[in-house]
Amino acid sequence: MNTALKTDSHSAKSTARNSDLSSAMAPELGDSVWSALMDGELPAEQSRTLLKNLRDTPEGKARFSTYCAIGDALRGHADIGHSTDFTQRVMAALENEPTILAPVRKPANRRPAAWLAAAAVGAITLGLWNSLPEDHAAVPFASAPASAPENISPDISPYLAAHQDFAQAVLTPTDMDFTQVSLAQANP
Amino acid sequence: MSDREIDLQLVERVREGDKHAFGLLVEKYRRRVMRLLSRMIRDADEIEDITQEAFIKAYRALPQFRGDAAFYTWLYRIAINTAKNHLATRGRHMPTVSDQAMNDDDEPDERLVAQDSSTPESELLSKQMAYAVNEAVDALPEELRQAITLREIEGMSYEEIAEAMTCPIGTVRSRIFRAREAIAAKLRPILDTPEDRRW
Amino acid sequence: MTLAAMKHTAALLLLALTSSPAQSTEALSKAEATAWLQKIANAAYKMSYQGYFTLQIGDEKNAPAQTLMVTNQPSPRATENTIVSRLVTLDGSQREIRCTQRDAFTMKINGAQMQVQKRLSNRHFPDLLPTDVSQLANWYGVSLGSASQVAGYDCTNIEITPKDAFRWGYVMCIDNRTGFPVRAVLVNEAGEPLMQYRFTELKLGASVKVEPPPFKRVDAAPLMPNERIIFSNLPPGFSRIAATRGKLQNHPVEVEHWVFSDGLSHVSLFLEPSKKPVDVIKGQSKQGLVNMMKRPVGDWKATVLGEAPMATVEAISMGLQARP
Repeated sequence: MNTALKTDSHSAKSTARNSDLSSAMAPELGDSVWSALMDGELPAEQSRTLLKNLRDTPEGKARFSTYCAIGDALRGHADIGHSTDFTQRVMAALENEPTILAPVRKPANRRPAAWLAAAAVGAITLGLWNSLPEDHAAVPFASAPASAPENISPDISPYLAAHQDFAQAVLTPTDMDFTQVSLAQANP
Repeated sequence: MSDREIDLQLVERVREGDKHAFGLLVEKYRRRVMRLLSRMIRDADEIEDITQEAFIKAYRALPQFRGDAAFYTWLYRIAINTAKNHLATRGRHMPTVSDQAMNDDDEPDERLVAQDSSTPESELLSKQMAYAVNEAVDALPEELRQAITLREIEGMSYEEIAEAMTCPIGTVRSRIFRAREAIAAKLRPILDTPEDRRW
Repeated sequence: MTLAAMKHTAALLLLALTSSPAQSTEALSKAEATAWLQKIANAAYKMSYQGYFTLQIGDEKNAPAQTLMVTNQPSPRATENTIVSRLVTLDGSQREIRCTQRDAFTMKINGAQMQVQKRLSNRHFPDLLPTDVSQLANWYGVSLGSASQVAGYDCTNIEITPKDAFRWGYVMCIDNRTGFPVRAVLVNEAGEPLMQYRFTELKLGASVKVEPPPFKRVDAAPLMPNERIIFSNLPPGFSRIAATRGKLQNHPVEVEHWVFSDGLSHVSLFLEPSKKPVDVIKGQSKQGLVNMMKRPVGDWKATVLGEAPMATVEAISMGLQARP
């Protein structure tokens, strides 16, 4: 049977990709995120993103609900009572509850964030700058990671704390991990 | 068990101020909790009320949930206690369910026979559901049926299923997804949730 | 607009639109920009409100968000001693900021002990803008961006884009009805979010009783800026807005603390007598939020740091000279 060629690139891709697909109209793997999410099989980053946008994703919520119903039915947990709008009623009741703000405290992750990888923050040797540059162009940081980070925060953190107290009205600057300041090698 | 991880992530989201994430936890566990309580309480409406109360209590107590036990285990205890209090205020004796129902794995033992506690309408609905789901599963291609069964009934992780079915993990994910979608398509007439019922 | 600023605008646009349907932003004229900024500033300073907000520095994986509670109740009947606003930390060590019309105090509570310190200014989130915004449009372009919803408020993203490479920008999500900022993200030249404030719960126009239990007030050291150091060649729009002298926590000597600002960006200078030779050092914090430069100026050690591009920190640092 010849499946009609669609201009939709999704179906073209999935036909090419999966050999055990029974039809060209099979859903894209990208749609399977909610299925993978509920099995706890999404990478942490992806599931965080998905959950953050939960409010704006009624389709995702609907999928999640349906999948729960399927799993429960397979395991013999039948619906009891008029529970079709049960969740809706619970959520309505929760509107009167204060929002919980008790973030889970995790130990600080010492790895630099991925989007700072380019900046040579990992590179850290104490550098001396011997000549004063004539122009004020920003001197690029060294890009090659060197030895272990030289942590000079005992030197800097009182200044940082005082500055942040002014600029951001931050109340507990010394509690924040990012008062670690490392040094960049200044290229002459 | 990877199932626990999604629960923890949802709890985390709620604790960061996102109430909507709690809705997913409700969706995931509401039938299980109600079935549990149906062993103690006969009236379907009461079961629903107590379940709702249990979820609200769980929400309030979420800052104290430490994540060292499974979320369902913790929720289970809250539900049992809520039901006990409910029964106590109405002067009834507690039926035989006790904490000894927990087996070694710290998972509540739910093999006890459920008492008859449903209304005629809901019984019909649940029978319809069970029938439709089973029929839909039977109609699935072999590899999809196997994947969804290993996942939902055996509780295996994608990695374990990949090993059992000798295929890549990505294929497992795809098969489970397609199985669910195929079953969902058959359930749509029964499950059809109108827009205004969405949370 | 310089190329850098154009890139920046593009990056900000992308940032603001990540989870909404594509919309074009509307760039405003200088006059319109000033009007919008003034509306936002007025809302933040003049409205009464009570809420909870989180402050997130960099990546959530590296540093969990801080949660704070804030109340503000400006009143025509406030005397100079009336507390009009209050911030309370909800995690970490117990601290509060209390502000009158003019002054502000930090209170640190360690068990039974309470330490009170006078603050340099009475600004705090959501007052990121100065009370007088008239100069800001010289240095920042303002565009109206996508619609959003924060803490239950329908709001609009306002992009405050730097016109040069000496400052970073903000995307502020402001309540459609009042102009009150419910979310603000500091964004660097690459469009990367460095820091984010966000209300998770907010009651605008709440009538709240702010008056907390009384405490002993302290006075700041009198202002006598160091006349032996002069500054010059500040980046466009920057001027010195504060100066004080005092002892910093965990630091042996008294320092002089100056603050330079263009109204939105703030860079601090710390001056102290130097006893031993001072190396010239530049640095950037791990999350990319703070740039720093330290070098000798005459007999002094000058440490410049702030939430601004390195070019700014460097320009300020290099513009310092000892008076001959």
